[in-house]
Amino acid sequence: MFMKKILYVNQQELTNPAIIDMLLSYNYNWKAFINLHKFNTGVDSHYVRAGKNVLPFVNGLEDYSYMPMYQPNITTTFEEATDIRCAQIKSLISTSPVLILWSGGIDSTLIITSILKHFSPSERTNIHIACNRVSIYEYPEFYFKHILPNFKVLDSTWIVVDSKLLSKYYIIDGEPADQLFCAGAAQTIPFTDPTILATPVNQSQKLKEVLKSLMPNEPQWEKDLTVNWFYQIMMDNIQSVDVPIETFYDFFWWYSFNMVWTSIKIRTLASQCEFNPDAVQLYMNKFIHWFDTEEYQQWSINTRIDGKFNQTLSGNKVIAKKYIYDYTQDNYYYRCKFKHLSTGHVKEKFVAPWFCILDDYTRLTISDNLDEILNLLPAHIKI
Amino acid sequence: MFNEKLFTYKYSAMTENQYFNYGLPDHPRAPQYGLYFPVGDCFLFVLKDQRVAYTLSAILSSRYVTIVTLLNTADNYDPTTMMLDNNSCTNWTASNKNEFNTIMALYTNPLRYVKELVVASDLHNNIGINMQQEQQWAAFCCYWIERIYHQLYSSPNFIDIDYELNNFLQIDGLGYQARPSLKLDSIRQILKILYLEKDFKQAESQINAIGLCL
Repeated sequence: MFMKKILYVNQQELTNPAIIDMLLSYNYNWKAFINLHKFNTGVDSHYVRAGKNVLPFVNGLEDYSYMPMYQPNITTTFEEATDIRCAQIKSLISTSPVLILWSGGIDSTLIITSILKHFSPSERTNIHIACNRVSIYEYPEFYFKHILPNFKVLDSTWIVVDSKLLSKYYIIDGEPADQLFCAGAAQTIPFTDPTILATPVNQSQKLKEVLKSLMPNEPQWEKDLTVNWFYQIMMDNIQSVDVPIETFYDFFWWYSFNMVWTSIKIRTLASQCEFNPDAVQLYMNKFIHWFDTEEYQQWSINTRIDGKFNQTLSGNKVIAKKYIYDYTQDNYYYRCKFKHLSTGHVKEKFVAPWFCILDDYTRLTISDNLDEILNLLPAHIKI
Repeated sequence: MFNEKLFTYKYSAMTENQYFNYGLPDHPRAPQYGLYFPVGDCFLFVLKDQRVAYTLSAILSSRYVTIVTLLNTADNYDPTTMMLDNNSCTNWTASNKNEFNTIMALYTNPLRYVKELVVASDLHNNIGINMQQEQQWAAFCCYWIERIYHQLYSSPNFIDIDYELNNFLQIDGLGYQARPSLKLDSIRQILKILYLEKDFKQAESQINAIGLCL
């Protein structure tokens, strides 16, 4: 009999008592592992993509979340990677309309900028933009000057990325751009001290203090437990790869780039209420993360802090803002735009929590499939 | 430590601007508000009216985030020797600026209390935007916002209740086919120009063309 296997676990659902009992039978620092999400809120799961697997679960989506090898001789610039991506998208337009999810933030604004730069008006007729009012408040000039005159606009507030929508469109979002740079809670560090991220990574005590500052509400013992564990597993993984990790910035980048990437790609599936296997396959085929390319990843691996962050409050993703500025000539955006909370919270959506995805793309829930989950989960754990 | 130099006229051109105001409260114990500018780490503009401060912050958000702060709470705030005005405010920052939740500031902007006024670094002169021009723009916006609020709230008229209630009532959608209020529409047009326009002369010209007497 063919044994199914789990490809991916929604780790926010590791709360059922029977599952917890099973996990506790393994000798592992589960408390610290569960606390990982404090370093990257909004992410449900962590999986290693490269190097030593220092986390308890096996990444069954390695092909889907592929990371290229470190090749220092590759010199593709961020702009070139963007232009290459745009050319790839152009080939899709002839087969199906495209819906771009615009949040008003830097990443999705860059997508539309690239399209405006490379697509003629007639080539853009099959491209629609989905946004909500908060997107407009985040970048009103771009909306009124560049989006409204050039694209059909849909209200994204009530959009659900389900099979019906994916059948109609290729859908493009601005992920995983954050993971190419320094993402998660670390994005808040520049608000207190922009220069600290340039500190050499061998200053371990200082790095641990910075990590603890990202857990302000936890008791000291929990901070110590989590940070010491996290630092150790990160260094174990870093030492198993040849990617240069030189500064605190690189440390935070590598954590997100290596361990959060997979979850970011799957994240939008959480809004789906349908659990049929075709829905997952359709999602993987037609939901396109703009920044998920070999060229962007090579650029990210080969670029250190100087090329990604200029150590000011508005200095993260400065290379992306430059790309936008070269088209819009909007100096305010280039100089003053910094990270705002994602507009994803604007949408009130029904979240149908599923526990895991199997290799036949069915999804299991705790309420309906607990026995099967308990049967399959051990093969997904590698401690 | 009080430093007289920080209170000299930094930009004399500012005071010659017809829209300029010092942003001082009407009496020493009255509140004074400062728009803290995170990217430049300084106070961009000071003013005496909280409602105007919030509207100004919202209008300026099309360019950059500012945070509405109450200056009087600063330990070293003293209306006789230590008070900021719009000639000197960019020389100052807040000692507790790290407590201001900047990542959420675009969506929610509760009043922040300044703990201590401290001398700002030179950062705001090196961020690639002209702070003097931004202050002039803020003064221009403040001028019009004050006049709008004065029109709305100072004398008996029907505009202020229409402005408040129709904001949520949306009476046209309830079947009442109202003739548009010319004055209210003009007020909304002015605010929209202030929010979307980047060129001072263009904004001034468009607002003057509306011909609204406030």
